[in-house]
Amino acid sequence: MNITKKLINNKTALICLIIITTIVILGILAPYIAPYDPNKVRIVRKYAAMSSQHWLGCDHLGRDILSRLLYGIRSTLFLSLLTMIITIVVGSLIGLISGYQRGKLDECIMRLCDIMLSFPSQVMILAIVGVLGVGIENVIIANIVVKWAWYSRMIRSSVIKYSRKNYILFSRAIGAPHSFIICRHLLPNVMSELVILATLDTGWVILNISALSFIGLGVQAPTAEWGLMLSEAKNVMTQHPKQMVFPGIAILIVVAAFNMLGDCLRDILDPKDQKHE
Amino acid sequence: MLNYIIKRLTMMIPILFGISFIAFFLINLAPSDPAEVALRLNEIMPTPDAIESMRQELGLNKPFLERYFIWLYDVLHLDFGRSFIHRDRLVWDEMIRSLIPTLILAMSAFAFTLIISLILGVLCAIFANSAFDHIVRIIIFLGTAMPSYWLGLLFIWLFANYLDLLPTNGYGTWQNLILPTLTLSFVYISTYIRFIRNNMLENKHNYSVFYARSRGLKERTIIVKHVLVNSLHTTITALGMTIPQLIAGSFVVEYIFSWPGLGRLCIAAIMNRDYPVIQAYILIMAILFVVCNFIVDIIHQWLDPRLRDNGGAV
Amino acid sequence: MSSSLLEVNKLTVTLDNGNKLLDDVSFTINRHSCLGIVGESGSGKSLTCKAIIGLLEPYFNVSGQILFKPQQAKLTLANNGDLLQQNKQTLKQIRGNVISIILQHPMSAFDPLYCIGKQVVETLQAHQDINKKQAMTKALEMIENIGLNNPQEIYKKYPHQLSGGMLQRIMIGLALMLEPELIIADEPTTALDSISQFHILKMFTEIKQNLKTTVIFISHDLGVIHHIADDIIVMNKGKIVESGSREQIFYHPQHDYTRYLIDTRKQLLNKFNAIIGFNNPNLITETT
Repeated sequence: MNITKKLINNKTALICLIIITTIVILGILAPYIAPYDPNKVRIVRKYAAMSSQHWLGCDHLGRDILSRLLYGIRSTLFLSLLTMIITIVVGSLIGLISGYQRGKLDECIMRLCDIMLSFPSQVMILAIVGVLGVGIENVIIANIVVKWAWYSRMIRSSVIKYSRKNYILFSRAIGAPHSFIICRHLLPNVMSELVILATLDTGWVILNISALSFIGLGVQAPTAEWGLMLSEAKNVMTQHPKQMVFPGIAILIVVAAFNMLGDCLRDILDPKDQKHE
Repeated sequence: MLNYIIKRLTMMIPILFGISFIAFFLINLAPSDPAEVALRLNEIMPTPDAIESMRQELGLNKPFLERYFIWLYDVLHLDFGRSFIHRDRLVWDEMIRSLIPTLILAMSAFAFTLIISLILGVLCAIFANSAFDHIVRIIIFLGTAMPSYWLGLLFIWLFANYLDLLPTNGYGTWQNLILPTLTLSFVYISTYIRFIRNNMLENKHNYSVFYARSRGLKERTIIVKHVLVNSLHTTITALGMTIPQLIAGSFVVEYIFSWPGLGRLCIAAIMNRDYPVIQAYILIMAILFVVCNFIVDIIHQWLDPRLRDNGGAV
Repeated sequence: MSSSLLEVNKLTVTLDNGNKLLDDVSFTINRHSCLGIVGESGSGKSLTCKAIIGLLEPYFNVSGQILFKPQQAKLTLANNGDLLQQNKQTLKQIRGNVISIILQHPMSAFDPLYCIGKQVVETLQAHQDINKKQAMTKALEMIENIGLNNPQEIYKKYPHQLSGGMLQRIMIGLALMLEPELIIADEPTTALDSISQFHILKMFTEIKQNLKTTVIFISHDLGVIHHIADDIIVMNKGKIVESGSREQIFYHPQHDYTRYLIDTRKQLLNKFNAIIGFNNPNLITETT
């Protein structure tokens, strides 16, 4: 479609997309391409420098940093993507219900959204992890709880906006099923807004999940996760500051790519700009 | 104006009730039995008898609503109960002791954010698309993608280990405050430089600015009085809301720099399942948030002549 | 005496992509006369006056000449008085002081965060070497002169507390205050209700009679132009279609476009008169 073409023509967006896709593929292929077992402890190789054997060196337990980074894509990036997918699905469903049903239920859901949106997300996440206990599942749940309201509200407002449009009234009049109307007419209209928000949020979720893992509330050792790797690097940073370089760069690149892509998408998809052309 | 303040204050009462209920209710959702947790933390074998007596002590045997009102009554008297770990310490005392360092950190980060983002934001708007603007925008971009804890580690390495200028952690002197402040404010500075810059560029195209130009006012007068002041009005609301965000978001920074604040207290409490502390943390944060929201609203109200007249409605 | 005050020669404004927004616009305004510029929206009327006061956005490419011949001795203009070639400092001195402008939307022209008085005072102080107190006295005098009651109170009002008509009067008062040689009024009546329109037009008539200022009056409303202008320029799509005295344009239009405009107005007027049942063209200031 037109959007795909525009996306490819936009150099920055294309570069971001390539970076993200490459990292995702690397993550999927991690077991095949990682040179070492990420959790294999070899004290002899402790703090090994960068070499042809260990491209990025070894950490305080002699584990290969490159392998851990590759496996870390799976925990950091994939868990963040999973969080986003669940958030979007849950948020959209609630938004659809709210927009279609209206009335009291809608009122209740929207008040709940208001509360969620006005409360500082950091406190909310700590509160939920505090109640449910330490662990990555609970961190993911907390992130979903914090984020769903944005999507619900967005979907709801567009459902209400578009359901007054003629072609949807017409579809209803000829008795098209709800699911058909939603897939055929509503989703394409909301899609661009949804994609922009989701892309920008992905960066946020990555930062969040890795931060909580860094503190020790998320992914638990010895799993390879970028935030956790930084946490381990922190303990030895006075003697071996080098260990904290690569996980940090990895997070920076991925988050930057998502943020930049989100900005580009906004420029490309924003209907305001299309009018100028 | 006074009417508006009273109206807002009365509106806050049900909100605060709601928050207190949520804070109480959340902890009751916890999958593990608080009595058992309390026993384990004190290294007492959780025999049925011991659990029963602990439940008695914590008042867990009463019905839910009764417990809520008892708790609320205590909270209104600033009694949050005792910590599970240190049975001899009152949660309230711990909270107050940690609140002060957190507030100091948040305030210093806020002041730093305010000053730097104002200066850079205004300069970027005035010299839009110059080399200076581009450099600042690159830094802004990095700021939003940078994990704050990594930045904190890099700061520690650079200033403490490599240059040996500043202490890595601790609390009490102004040197201790510098690195946490820098780390905490970095993201917000990035956000607000962008905010102020774009807002000013937008305001530059205002009709009233065109009229000010056509009246032959000095460029400096136009930028300061008619562009910047207008932008500040929008910025103040947004900036005011960062105070609670700074307080809430400081836990990562507190953890890195061993800052004895609320965030670190809460993290420790989460690790230990010290429910009374978590509960108090949620409640205090929420109240801080509501109060900040209120103050910012009033200030915004008071500054804008249009809002001053209508008592809130634009 | 009918020496020219402003001569616009072959003024052309283009965008970077080659679009011509103003094409070869030339006209002359005589001292103490009123020039009306008529045209539909987008015909380049406002662009012309923006070019005269030097406030075109930097992405426009401008060529041609705008020769300005003020009588004031204090102002010396370089390059034969071509406004397009003055430096920023001179232009700033000219704007508001020698050429003042009255805009279309009085409600949004004033900064909402300052009271009216302050905005009048800051304009005065930008051009005259007077202290705040003197400026305040002058501002209060001005508010009284334009026929608003309670100048003290008006002074302290914020823009949102006044009506569009009142703000437009203040804008006109402010434009007159510094005794400019040229006043550019860019659709000053368009955004107003008809009663305010009537008052504003009356003000302009008085200005013409008493003050001997030169006025460029821009409007898409032929009724208003007929009421106020001595000479008229008709613009369409960035070009001058026809120019001449009021009588020429209204009673002997040469160009098709002018005829079309006048016919449309006549039809509207006939319709209007048929409905209202009375005929007094001087009162009619309808907007189209």
